Amino acid sequence: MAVKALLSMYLSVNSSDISDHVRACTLAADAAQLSSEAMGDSWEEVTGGLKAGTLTFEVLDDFAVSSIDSILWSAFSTGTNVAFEVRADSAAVSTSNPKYTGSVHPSNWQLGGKLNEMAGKQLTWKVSGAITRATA
Amino acid sequence: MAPVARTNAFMYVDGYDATGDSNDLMLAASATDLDKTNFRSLGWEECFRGAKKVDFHFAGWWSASSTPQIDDESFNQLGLVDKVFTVGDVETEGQPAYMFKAAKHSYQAFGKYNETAPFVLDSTGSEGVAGLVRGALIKAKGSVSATGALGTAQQLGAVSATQYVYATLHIFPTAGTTITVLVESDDNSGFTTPTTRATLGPLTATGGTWATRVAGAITDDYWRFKVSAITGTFSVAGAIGIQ
Repeated sequence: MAVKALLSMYLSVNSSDISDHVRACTLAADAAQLSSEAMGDSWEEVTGGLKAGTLTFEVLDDFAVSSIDSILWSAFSTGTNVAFEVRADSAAVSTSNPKYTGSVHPSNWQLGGKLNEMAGKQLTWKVSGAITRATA
Repeated sequence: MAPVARTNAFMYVDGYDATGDSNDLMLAASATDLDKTNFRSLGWEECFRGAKKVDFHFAGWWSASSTPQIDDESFNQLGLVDKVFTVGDVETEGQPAYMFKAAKHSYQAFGKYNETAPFVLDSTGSEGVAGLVRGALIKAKGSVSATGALGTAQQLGAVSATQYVYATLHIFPTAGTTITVLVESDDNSGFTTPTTRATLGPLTATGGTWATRVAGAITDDYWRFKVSAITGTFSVAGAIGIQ
């Protein structure tokens, strides 16, 4: 098994590749754990329920026209869910570099931080609908 | 413009420039995730947009004196709504500026022995129509004492039929006698044929002014402030946005 250093992650939001401003990115998917034990069980049981995802990312801010702040503000202010794509590497999609795609609700935007830090944003957006994994 | 180190963020809070008191700010806009999951959601939760809100947090070094300082400005306005804020990460004309009206709802002062006295102020948006507007800093804090163009005109773009033009103007201590500022647009950067879109004033005291928004459609794409009348010297700042 080949482990991988995250040096070149790919993140696209609303069809904009923002990879070159990304400092961290996590895609999380969870399935509800529904309690399903009953009489006769001596151990707790769970059955998978609805799945849900969140996309969390940290980016360096950039106030140039059509750059990060503009892209993320536009996604937030428009109000509709937007497409995303995440993969471990910006190289071509493959079995060793699968892509994860879906739609997110751009539910928050931010600006600010402390003096003498790099301007940036840390955002968490809820996935709406399925996350799809593909290797081609 | 490349990624920036945060060394000259700015925050104009009503009639007070809090930039020199602050070393930490966070402007956050959020929208409610409303559930719409149903039996045809293929096993995945689905959501859509609910109401939005604006939260602004900033902190820094506490001060008080006979002239307006962060302590009296914050404490005396506690709970008052619709105070005008203009905030951004780079205090350079032309850079993005975020405009909103908010209520200061939480003020915290002082801390530990042998530390610089700190303050923390939290505000939440109090205006439910425009909310948070992204525009550009047209005039960074500075003095004006004559009529004419104010700050740096920007090519913000045309205004569609569903958009509005917003503008904020802050007057900082000590105000002159009277000032009137116009929001003008034109189809060229030289403003050879300007059209007045909004009038701010006559203003005679320190404070923040939120211009009555102007509905589109407007085809002009260059925007500026212009002082049309002034008596005395004023310290001012302001932004214009289209949303």
